Amino acid sequence: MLRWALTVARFRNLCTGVLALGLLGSAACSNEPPDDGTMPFLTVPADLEPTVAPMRRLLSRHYLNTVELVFGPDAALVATPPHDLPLNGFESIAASQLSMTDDLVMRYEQSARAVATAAMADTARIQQLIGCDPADNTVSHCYQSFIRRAGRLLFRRPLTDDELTDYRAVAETADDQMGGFHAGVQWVIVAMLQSPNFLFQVEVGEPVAGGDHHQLTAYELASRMAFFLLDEGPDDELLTAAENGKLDTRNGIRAVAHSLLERAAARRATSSFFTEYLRLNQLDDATKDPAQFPNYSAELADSMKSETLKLLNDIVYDREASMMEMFTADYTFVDDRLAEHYGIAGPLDGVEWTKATLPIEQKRPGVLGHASTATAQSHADSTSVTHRGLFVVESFLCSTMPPAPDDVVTELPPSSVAPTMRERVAVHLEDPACASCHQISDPVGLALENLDPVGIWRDRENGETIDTAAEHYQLGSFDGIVGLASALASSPETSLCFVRQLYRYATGHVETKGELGRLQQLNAEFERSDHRFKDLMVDMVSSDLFRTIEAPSIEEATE
Amino acid sequence: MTRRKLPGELALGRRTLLRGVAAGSAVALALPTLEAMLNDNGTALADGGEIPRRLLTWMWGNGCRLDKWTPATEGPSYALTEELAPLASVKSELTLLTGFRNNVAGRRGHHDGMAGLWSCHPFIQLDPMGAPYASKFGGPTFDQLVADIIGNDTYYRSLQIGVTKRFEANQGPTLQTMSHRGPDQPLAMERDPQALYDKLFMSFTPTDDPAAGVRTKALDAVLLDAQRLKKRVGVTDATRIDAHLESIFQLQKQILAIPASCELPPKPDVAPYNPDDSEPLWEIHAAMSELVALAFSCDLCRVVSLMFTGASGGQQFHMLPPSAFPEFPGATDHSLSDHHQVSHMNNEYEKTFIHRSVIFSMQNLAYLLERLRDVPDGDGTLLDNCAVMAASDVNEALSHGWVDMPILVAGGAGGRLKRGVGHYRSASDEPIHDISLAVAKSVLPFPEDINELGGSDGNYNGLTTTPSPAIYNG
Repeated sequence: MLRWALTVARFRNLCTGVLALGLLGSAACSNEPPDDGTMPFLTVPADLEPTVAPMRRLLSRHYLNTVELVFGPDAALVATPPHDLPLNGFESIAASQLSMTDDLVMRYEQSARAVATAAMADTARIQQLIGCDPADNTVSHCYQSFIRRAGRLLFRRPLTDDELTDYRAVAETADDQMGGFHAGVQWVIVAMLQSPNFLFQVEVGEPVAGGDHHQLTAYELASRMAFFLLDEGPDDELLTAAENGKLDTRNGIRAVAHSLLERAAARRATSSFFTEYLRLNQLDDATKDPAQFPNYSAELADSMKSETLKLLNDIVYDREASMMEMFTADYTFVDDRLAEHYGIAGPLDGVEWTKATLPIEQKRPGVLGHASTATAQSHADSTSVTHRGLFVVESFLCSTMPPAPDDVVTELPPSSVAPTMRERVAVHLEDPACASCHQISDPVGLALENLDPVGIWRDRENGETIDTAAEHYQLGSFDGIVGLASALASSPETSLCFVRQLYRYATGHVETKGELGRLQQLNAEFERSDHRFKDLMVDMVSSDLFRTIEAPSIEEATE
Repeated sequence: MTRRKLPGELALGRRTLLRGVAAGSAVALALPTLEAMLNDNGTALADGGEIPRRLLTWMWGNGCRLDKWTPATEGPSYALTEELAPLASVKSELTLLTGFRNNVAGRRGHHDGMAGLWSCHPFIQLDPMGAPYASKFGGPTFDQLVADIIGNDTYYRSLQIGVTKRFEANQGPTLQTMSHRGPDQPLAMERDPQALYDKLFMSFTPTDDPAAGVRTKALDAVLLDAQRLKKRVGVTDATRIDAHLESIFQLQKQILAIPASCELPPKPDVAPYNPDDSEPLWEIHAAMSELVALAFSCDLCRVVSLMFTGASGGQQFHMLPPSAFPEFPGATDHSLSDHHQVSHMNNEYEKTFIHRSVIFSMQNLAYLLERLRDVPDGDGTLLDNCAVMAASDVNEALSHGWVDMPILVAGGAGGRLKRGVGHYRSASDEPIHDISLAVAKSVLPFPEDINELGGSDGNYNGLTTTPSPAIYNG
């Protein structure tokens, strides 16, 4: 296996070298037989216009899960990585753009010291990481062993000689000043957890033939896959696979991806995607008018979030069903709190969650029928057809709405004059100045009006029957949640938008025009697989788009 | 001239020099305004150095009601309006500036105002390919330019403090914080008084901490990693690594700093939320005000930005239930409504609600200014040596207007800000950016170290080289 990896590496170098010498055109390297999935990646397709892959700071959950992976749960418990905020809809996009600050560096140092102390308490695990007994070897040898092994997991690649030297210096200083061998180990952990090599996903890639672009190294690809598919850094097994060339062919990547998706961590990672994508975090600080909604509580909001994630994991992993069931599923999951909220029988004694069907008269399929999305996208005391509609078109159609013009008055007529929300927001769609934008969001929101601000079903508002018929420029005419769900499930925009959103999430950037062609190809495969999410994830990580980046423009050293 | 006594109220102890060792040589981290180190008049340090000046920027979100904000007359004897009335006790310390225009506005309400006031650069929109709207700053905020000059000798270069936790978090960094070191370096605000307390008073390394040396040694390895990495990445990331390196140096300096010997104040005891889920805005702001006064007075920091409520934010004014509006019987309860949502309603009741929220905000500002005025500093007060700029992101929320922004400047900045001006109304739409420049320059030892602020992008031009003569005494 190792030999194969070396051969590939040499092969790559040969191509680059040949190109650099200018002896042969790119044809020398791209004139390969068509790739049946078994060919080593030697060229970058000419039609691909990738984009730069900026350093991406580990998200809070990536940091915690990786610490747990390497140093165990007690260490993760005391870790205090900073909180993340989204940009353009996803936290990973912010993580690719924002820089370190004094506060963050201070916080990471505190966290590193706490983690290292806790890690040392797990003596068995630490001994395994050291992999060397200072009684039988020189101390220096054992430090070297620990630094190599821990460093490979934390930096997600083998360490360079310079790095080994520098971290050994940390170990020796600590050994000297803080009391012996284990102090040296502990302070190496403190240092490594603060290194940009740990705190950032670094994707510099390496040159390949066929263009100016770079291809991620096998280690970088392993990291990109692990953080995307598992919410954690690559473990020993995945790094070894990278080392052994298992990620050097399309079929190899697919096989590895399939096996990663079998792990429990994959469900956790999929939940993270849907939490961000469906803006479920907005439930964390949603407040509701206690006079109108006395039963609303933070615990209920948590249950709402869990319901949605349980349904999605069921669709993706347990049933491997079409992702479009996200909209159309006629079943859900409830605990006691939610069962009461929905007015149905709860789980049996001793069972926390149960699969359930909502009463037939509540026509609320899929996640748009869930209390979670209805509640998160409402005000404290009323629904918001604009917020709800905007959420739907931004998340599922990748449409945006221009900002409200200045001088806009968003007050709505009182319910004494206009009993239903449709009547209250009529001006949004009647006044041309408002309608030019509100036609994007409001019709969609009106279709969801059967759910009140905490997601309880209602047929009437203030005594008037709620009319949920809608007409939308992208989705056509439909009625209610059922109509909206089937319009979304059958719209080609929904499928492509889903692929785009997943790609944004996985790579930490909003796709560029040059990437759109490949995303359309991925979408075609997604459609062919009947919208199975696992297939999409595998197709995505094994596509050339996923491993090709624009070469970083490195500033000439001025020193 | 005699020096005023230290007030019993704050129980401030003596401050000592913060001194550390970086790269083997001693560096002073803070100039003490220790009594013993002042000259006989208390007008300067015994070694001839000036008493440090401090900068405080303060904002409330979503503007005011111009008809209830703007006084009818100008000059020092103007009559306070309803919205300014809470500031009566500090009126003589204030300059009210009206009629100033934000020249980087016109694209997106709230974002325009944040960018125009605090950086004078047009913001950068991040909205490609149908992703949700977001923006970031187009350049550094002036408090950070100032911190680069006056913040290097203190334990913290600057502090960012928030009061409401219901700020707008989903539209990018522009609305999240008032301080940005650059487009990609927003500085997160500390929104928990207890955490700020710990940061100020519990972060010092004890002088006998045996780990101090190895902590800096560990950071040396991190520095080497960052320097090597910098050579492998593109230019944008190289700049990000520079920011990382700078912060690591700062931390090394902090680890070796000698603890401040300010007498430890009691830890604030404020819950983040009331039982009904509303935020105790007054209590949190009061606790933060004490901590700002202490941080300045102990010389832990000379630059602070404080966001009372956010631009377009979801802050709630629980202290304004319907019962507070007897003049509107049967009024809707907005005490748990998003402030921004209410601000876009045009009924008399909702407009009154916003008006009353401005009055509440000014009560908070008055409290903070009073605290700064009550703490002696040199031969005067902290406020004498501070420049405070308080403003809102829009003039009125309903219009997102930008041609007559509500701005207050307080404090003397050690003589560099004019006092006794009262109300100055620009007759010519002078740029708000001139106020920002005047405030920035006023706290520098050498005002010529900042001669221009801001930038331009097409029609949006916030660049200024003229510190507002209405306030600047340079």
